[in-house]
Amino acid sequence: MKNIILARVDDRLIHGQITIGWLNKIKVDTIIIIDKELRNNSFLSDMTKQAAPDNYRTEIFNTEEFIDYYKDSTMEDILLLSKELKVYENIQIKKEIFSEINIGNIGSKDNSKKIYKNVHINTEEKKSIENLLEKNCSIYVQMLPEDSRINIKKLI
Amino acid sequence: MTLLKFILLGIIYYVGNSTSFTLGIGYFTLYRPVFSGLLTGIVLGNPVTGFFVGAIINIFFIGFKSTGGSLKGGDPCLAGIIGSMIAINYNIQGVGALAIAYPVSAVGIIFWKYRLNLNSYYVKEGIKGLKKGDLNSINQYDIYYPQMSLLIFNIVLGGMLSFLIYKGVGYVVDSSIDVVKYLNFTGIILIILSGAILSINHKWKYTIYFFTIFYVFSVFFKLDPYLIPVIIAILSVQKNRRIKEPKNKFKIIKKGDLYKSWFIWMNFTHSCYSYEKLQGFAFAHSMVPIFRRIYKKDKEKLIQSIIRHTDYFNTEPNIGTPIHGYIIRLEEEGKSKRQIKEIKEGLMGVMAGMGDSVTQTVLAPLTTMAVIYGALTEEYILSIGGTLIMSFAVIFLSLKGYLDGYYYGKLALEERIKFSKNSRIVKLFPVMFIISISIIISKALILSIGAVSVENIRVATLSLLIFYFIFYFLLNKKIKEELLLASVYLLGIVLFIFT
Repeated sequence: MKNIILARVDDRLIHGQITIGWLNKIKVDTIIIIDKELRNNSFLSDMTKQAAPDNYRTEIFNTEEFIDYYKDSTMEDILLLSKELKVYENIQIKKEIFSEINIGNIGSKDNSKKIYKNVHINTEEKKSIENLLEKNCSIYVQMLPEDSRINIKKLI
Repeated sequence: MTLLKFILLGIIYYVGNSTSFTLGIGYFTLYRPVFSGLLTGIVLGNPVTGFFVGAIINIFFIGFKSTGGSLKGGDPCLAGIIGSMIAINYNIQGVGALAIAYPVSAVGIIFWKYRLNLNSYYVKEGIKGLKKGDLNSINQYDIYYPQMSLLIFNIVLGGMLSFLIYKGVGYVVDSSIDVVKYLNFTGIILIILSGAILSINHKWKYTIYFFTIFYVFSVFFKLDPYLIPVIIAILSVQKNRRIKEPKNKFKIIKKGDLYKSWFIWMNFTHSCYSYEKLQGFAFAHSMVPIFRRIYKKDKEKLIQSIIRHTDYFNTEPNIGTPIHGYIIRLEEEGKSKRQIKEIKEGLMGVMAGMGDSVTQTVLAPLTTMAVIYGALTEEYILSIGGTLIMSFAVIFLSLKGYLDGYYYGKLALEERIKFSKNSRIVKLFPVMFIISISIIISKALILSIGAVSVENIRVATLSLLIFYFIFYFLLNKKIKEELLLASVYLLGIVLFIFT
């Protein structure tokens, strides 16, 4: 059984908020990053794995690899990270894995609108949010464990 | 207190809060209560008291960290100023000053988010100016406007808050109830609560035992104040590992350009820190000397390249500098925009996660504890030593990162990861931290507890351990810190009535 403790959207994947924020509050065995580009860039994925905090297994997958991995029956608590909402949407359409998703940081891009301090979304991302909500997944914004959760419905 | 003094306190608040113009050292020094307390003491003509009170308050803030635009609890710098000011004016103990300064400092944090929003506006205007071809726009909007706004705002906020607290405390101190005694009780319990919070947040299973042992030890035995800091300093010494590969040779860029770029970066990483871009605008700013060299004759290309680098960026400013060196090298080699963007974005998080767990988590608490301990024991050489080590570490790590990133590229990044993960002090930190903080807390309480007129200081200090265990137990049961903090203020009343 794979148990997803936290599924998070964060531009910077593993960074300070994860290493000295979340990992001090939640208990997980494995950190999984779902990011196709990172997966295909051997230098960056190598660096990411080397720099990841000790005492955790770190894996970098693309969407298909993650779904396969999820099927595996060994017990494991997982912290899931991805830069994009789209990734979670694609997985949820295939298989309803997530009951909730945490949005940490989404920086501004062209055509994106600020919905909260550090969260900026464009129309495409808004679509992903709507689809995820429809697929029984609640979404909330929370930067650090000490912050309060804000339901995405209040922000869009 | 004259108007001028309130304004000066506001300026101290600006200097600590801005962290700019200090080569990155300000965040680890001037922003902390022990330093802002000292500066306040100097302005008010009593540096010794200011420094001591700042040190007591700093114990409460020793675990302070900020990651990627997040800021919680109270503003350390403001706490030091307010605490030091009332302690000096009304002859209130450090612990009593803490009980007032802590809640007041929360006001500082409220305005943090407006600062980041205002900076978003400056970044937009700055980029607009660049697009019009005005290269000076980045100086104006990365330094001048945000820093001027902050200066004015902090003088007003810091000065006004100081004035209000000065008047308010003056009023209650004059009243018939012994408020000062209540404040001292509350402050003492706050310090012991901070011991419990630090223990529980510390990921090491023997924390509670080590804390108890060293706390008790330091109540009964006089420890040479230099012993532990010197042991820690010796254990921290690390060989400067040189990479033995051939260096990348300067082609277009000159070594001086790297220094200029480093200088801009270190001074202004957080000068115009905004939610949209975080350090993005500062990164672009630091690339100005580089692109000036590469595109000497092509102003349009120069400006376009700078705008390209204003994208969202955030990393640990000191450990993360091999990114800058490496990006500069790739720009000089004329690598594609896409490739450079991918590397920059791929590396910022990597270096931030690891860097924060070294500088903010290990180096800053250790050196600040040396400063605090020096202030408490009046062994000021310890304080100077701690400050110098922190300053040297910031300059050395950031500059070496910049140069090595350029000289050795990917190797420099790997080397930095190895350095951060394998350095002895990072591994030994849990033990070192808990030993030091238990001794500091014990020392601080011994020095403060006389203020609540107890007969046997040692027994009283020991009995405070009971509170430590209760708080530890409650925190372990997931009771919120905020709730405990509030209850300490109530507990102060109970103790006040029954003694």
